[in-house]
Amino acid sequence: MLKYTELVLDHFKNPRNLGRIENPDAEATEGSIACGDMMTVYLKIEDNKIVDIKFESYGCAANIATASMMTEVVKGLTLEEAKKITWKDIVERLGGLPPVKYHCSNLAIDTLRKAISAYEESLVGK
Amino acid sequence: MKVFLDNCRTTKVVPEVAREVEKYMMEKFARPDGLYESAQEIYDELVETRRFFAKTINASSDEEIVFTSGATEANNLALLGVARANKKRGNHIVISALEHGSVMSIADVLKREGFEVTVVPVDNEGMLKLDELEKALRPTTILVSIIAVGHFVGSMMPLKEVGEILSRQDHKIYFHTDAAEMYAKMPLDVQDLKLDLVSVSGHKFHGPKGIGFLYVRRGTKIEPIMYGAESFDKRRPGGENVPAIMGMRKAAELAFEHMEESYRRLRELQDYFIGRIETEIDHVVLNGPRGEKRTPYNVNFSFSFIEGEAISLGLSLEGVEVATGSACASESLEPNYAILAIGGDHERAHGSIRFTFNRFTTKEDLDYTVEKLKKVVQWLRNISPLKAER
Ligand SMILES: Cc1ncc(COP(=O)(O)O)c(C=O)c1O
Ligand code: FES
Repeated sequence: MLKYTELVLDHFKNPRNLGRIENPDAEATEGSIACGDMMTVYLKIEDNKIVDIKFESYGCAANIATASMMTEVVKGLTLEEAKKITWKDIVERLGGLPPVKYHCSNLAIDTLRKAISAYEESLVGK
Repeated sequence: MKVFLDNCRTTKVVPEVAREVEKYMMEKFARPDGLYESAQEIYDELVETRRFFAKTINASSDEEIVFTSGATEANNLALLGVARANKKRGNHIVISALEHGSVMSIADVLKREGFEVTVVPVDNEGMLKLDELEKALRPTTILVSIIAVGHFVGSMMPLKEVGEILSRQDHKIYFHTDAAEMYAKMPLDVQDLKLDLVSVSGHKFHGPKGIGFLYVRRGTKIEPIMYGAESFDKRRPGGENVPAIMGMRKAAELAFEHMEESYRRLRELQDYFIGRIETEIDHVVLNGPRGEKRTPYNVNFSFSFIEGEAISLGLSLEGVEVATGSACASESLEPNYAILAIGGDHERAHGSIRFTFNRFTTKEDLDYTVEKLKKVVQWLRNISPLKAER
């Protein structure tokens, strides 16, 4: 097994913002080509701000922990701010990840960005 | 409570073994190649110990046992040593799809040296396809290496049938087995199975790590893979790891003493454990065969909709230690090849968990494991976007 930081283990054991949002303003599911994992992000958006976010993960411990940290970081941010968050920010906030697990944090960010795009597209023509 | 169920990877050393190792480190520390009394004593003890190991597999002479640093080295010596020594006769080698990573990597080395390697497939239970093996043989085949017991899915390979097939050929084909997961757990008779080479690892049966042996049938053409000064055994030069050898011997004595009883007891526990998981957890698939074709030391399940590294880390936080075949847990991010070889897909490998027992594993250990497993599986399924009903 890989070596994880205490904070990663904490987010794995007690993930923040876990679950689904009924009638979300946007949702997205992404898969990782690297390992075959999947995650779903649900967003509730008001005045261009992420007021609620939840996730589900079919992924490894690092994926669950990075998704959890990602939700904690972006909750309350505007969409523009949230789009600027990178996988590196998440890894740093977690005190590091084994390099072979960087792609898991990528998956968390990709899914978030896809959900934001889905929201923006849903506005077009409204 | 702590439950270690990764005994196929390694086992704990028992006190009797540790004491033996200490004795040969602190008191009887000589090497067998001095011309004084303590060295002569060790020489005699090593010869006697080789004789002991030879007897455990019904080999005919102590000289057929070569001590190595474990099964990895034994596999290297067997495959590289026999292939290189016999390349004038042919350049073709046959292995199974379930070989240990060490044999797989050695096969790659041999390919780079100009040998051709055929990998014989296994069926959905992980049993070697004998007809495919027979078809794979060529006039240039010099060596067949078949793992004795699949280390991931627990299938006990039909070694006897393989031995029969090989002995029916018009030319000599050496027969090697990696018996790391078989030796000292069930009977292994090199005459009955017509084996020429057998790899054994000490730390799989409560012996020390870094020690093992290779059985080499008398008359086998084999080259060393290491070169050194004149020593006890020129097939494997260097100072013998006497403490580990003697520790492994003690471990083997104890293991053989309890072999039959452990086999029976673990078979019952295995049935019980499989039964509980299948009735108490939905959407599970047993990987590998059932009943007599499966080693009683191994259970392997795939849990749908969730990922193995998360399962094993979750279990570890509850004190239960297991292995997984998930791509996420491997450095290469490749799904476990044994699950693919038995016809499973990426997803099945993803959720696979291997539970391996030792002869001290108890019903309480397994009850505890089932309780924790139920908890972890349910928790991960709750957070998974994949669900049966959706
Ligand atoms: C089937 C098999 N072969 C070889 C090995 C390697 O053994 P060792 O650690 O003694 O080199 C192992 C254990 O990891 C094994 O399970
Ligand atoms: S999501 Fe598969 S390795 Fe992390």
